[in-house]
This record gives sequence, structure tokens and C-alpha cells, in this order.
Amino acid sequence: MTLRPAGAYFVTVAARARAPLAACAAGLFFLIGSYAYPRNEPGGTYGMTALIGTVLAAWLVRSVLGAEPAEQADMAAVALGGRTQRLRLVAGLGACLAAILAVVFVLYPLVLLWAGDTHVFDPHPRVADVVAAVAAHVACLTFGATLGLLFAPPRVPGAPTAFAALTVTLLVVLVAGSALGPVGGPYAVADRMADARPGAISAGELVADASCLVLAAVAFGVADRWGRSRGG
Amino acid sequence: MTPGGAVLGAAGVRVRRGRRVLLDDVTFAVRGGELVALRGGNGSGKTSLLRVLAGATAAAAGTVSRPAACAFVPDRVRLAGGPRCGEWLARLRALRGLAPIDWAGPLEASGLAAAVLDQRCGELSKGMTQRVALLEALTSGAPALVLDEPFSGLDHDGRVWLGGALAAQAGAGAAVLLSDHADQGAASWCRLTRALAIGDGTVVADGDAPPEAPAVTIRAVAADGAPLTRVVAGAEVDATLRALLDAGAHILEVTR
Repeated sequence: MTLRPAGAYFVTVAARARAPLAACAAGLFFLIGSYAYPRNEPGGTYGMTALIGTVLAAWLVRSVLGAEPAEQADMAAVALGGRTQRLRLVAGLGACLAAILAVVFVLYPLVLLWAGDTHVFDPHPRVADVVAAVAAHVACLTFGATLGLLFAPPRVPGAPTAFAALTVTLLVVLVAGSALGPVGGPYAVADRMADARPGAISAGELVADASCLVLAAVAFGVADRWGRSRGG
Repeated sequence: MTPGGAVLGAAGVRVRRGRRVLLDDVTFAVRGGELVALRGGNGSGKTSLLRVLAGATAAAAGTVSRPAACAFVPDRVRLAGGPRCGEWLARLRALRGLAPIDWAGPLEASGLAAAVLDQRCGELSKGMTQRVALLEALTSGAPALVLDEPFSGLDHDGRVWLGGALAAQAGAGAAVLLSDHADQGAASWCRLTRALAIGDGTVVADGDAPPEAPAVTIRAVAADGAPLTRVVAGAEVDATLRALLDAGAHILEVTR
């Protein structure tokens, strides 16, 4: 019930500060650039956009939460009923944002296809490919959004430090992901989707998606504990 | 709510900042209708304790009881600079699940012009920002108000307004807890019920508010004929009168 006013609150704060502009612009250029070339293989391309989407979601959420001064965050938390309620709401909004971005990332090439650009995919994606792409994007972007929350104030108040920490964490996740194989988070998602048989969803893809959600849950738990110790 | 009509309470609360324990075994309650000052030196943990009581952060141990609806105004209020003041007030009110209100009346009562609603929060002065934040808390209808040094950033008229508003809130049954330095003299601007003192890492004294002189209103006419009104703390009356007389003002009335 409070998700809508909380969403309106964060949108007002972030939009007025133009905080999400850089992340949104980067996402837009990335999306346009990805499909500028013709004959993209659906699984591999969607896997790549899901992987890069992780980074963009983390950047976007950190930018939005960083636009709110700590004192104002305290007032808003108390108005919402306390820090726990606020953290849950922020997590809920992060998940909503991830879902919206996932739909945009998956729909964009399909809109191009519908608009007459018949060479955007080769072969043409089937329903199963689109479902797999939505699941992959939701999982990866939810993890990315949670990473953005992890490095947001009060845990990491300074933006330069936060973005450095985000970069290092994402690199570690990718390197570790390549070693962990099917449960390697976003790396595993991109890897499994590139290898997927067209028109089918493999168990490997679903396991990789689930590993992203597990990583998101771990990151959320760490954010909660870290926030408590930092007085937030 | 805790038993005995307490609206806001702490039982064996431990407050940490990082790894350092600031306060331990803090136990007290604030009942509805009470206006309680929390006093202590710099770094004693007043702000951290207020944040814990308001729910902005969690206690390291112990139990905090507070109503679902609570209002908190920190010391040195900072708002995101981009949103307009009216937007911020409306959004905060929506977060509380409250219906929108016409802010013109409350703003005027607080000494702010209605045009402030269209100004960006980043354009407001420190005192104006604090008034806006206090106004949001005071109009929230919350049964518990937790205010961190609310008088410190306000000018004279602002303190008079806030003193009256807090008295009205307590009169309506709200529990008001505010931190205060003795030399800021919250007791000069509003009638405190009790004062809690923090020392040695816990609440060391909980008793009636020390008998500070209530605010005194001085009405005068300046040398150029302009009417003047000064509301000052009891200890400041002589110095204020002397300054006014030295400036050529004519004193009309001194009332308590």
C-alpha cells in the first residue's frame, strides 16, 4: 500500500536532482548500440544485455538513493514506521525497478522487429526465448539493484567510494562467476543463454537465474546488517 | 505503547555508534502530554538515542516502544535540494498515509510565506529548512514527536512559534521528547514537564525540569517610532532592556 507513495517520493527526490540521468543515458546508449548491428542471436544477445543490465541497475539504484541526504532519509524512515519498513520498501521498489527495466531491455528489440526491422534477430526469437530473456533480466537486474542498495548511504555515504566499491564487487562477481559455473550469478546467466538451444528454456538457465536471486538475498542481508552497524 | 500510558519508551536500551557503545541500559518512558528535554554534553549520545527512539536506526540491545506513527526532526536538517518545498511536504505526508492539506495556514503560523511552497528546498536558508521540517512533524498528528535540538537553528520569532506549537502538541496529548543544551534554554520557550540527563553512558537523572525562567515579552517603540516586540529568556531580560534603551527605544511593556 505504501509502495506507491514511497515510489513517488523517491522519483521526486531523484528526478529533481537529475541523479538517475547518467545511468539512464548509459542504458539507452547501450541498448541502441547493442541492436545497431543486424542478425543478433537471441539467447546470446539477451544474455549479454542481462549481464550489462546488472551494472546499470546497480548504478541507477545507487544514484537514486544517494540523492537523498541522510537527515531527510531519517525523517522519511520514521514517517514510514522505522528503518525496517524503509529497507523493505526500498527493496520492493528495487525489485519493481528491476522488473520495469527487464521489460524495457527485452521489449526494445521486439519493438524494432515489430516496427519492420526484420534483421534485428537471426533466428527470430520464439516465445520460450522471450520468457527466458525476461527471467534472466529480472534475476540479473534484481541482483544489480540490491548491489546498488548495498553501497548506498548510510553504508557508503560518498558517491566516489560507492562507485569504486560497486566496480570492484561487480568484477569479483564476474570473475568468481566464471569459476562457479552454473551457479555463477550474472556471468552464468550470460553463459547459459549463449549456449541455450533456440526456442527452449534449459534447466541450466533457470539455475543461473536462481543463483542471481540467491546472491541478491545475500547482498540484502549484508546491507541490513551493515546498515545497523552504521546507524542506518 | 508501554503500560501506564507511556507513548515512547526505552527499556535496557544500548546505543552503539560503530563498535563504540555510547549508551547502555537506558530506561525511561515519556507519557502522552509530556514535554521532556534530554540533556547531555557534546558526544554524550543524545542524537543517537533520539534516532533509536524514533526508529531511524535500531538499538543494539533492549526494547524501544513507540507508536506506529512518529515524527522525527534531526539537528541540522538537510533536504534534497531539487524538489520544491511543497512537493517535499506533500510526499512526506503521503508516506505517512495522510491526506493532503492546504499548507498556507500552517506556513503562515510558522512565520513562513506561502511562496516558500514553490521554492526549491535547496534555496531555503538553514532556519527556513528547519521550520519546514518542524512544520511537517507538527502537522503529522503523530502521537510522539522526537526533535533533536529543535530550537538551535531558529531565530527569535521561530523559537516563540515553536515553543507555542510544542505546548499545543503536548496539550493535545502528544508525547514530545527533545534534546536541548541547558544554555539553549528550551525551558525559556516552552514549559517542560521533565528533563532527562545523560552522563557516564546512561540516563543519570530523570526528574522535574529545572526551574528556568519562562519567556518574557518586551514591547517597545524604537527610536524611529517603529513598534518592537522581543521575547527573551528570563536570564536575557536585563541585557535586552539595556540594549533597547541604549538604542533609544522606549519600553512600553514587560510581561511574563
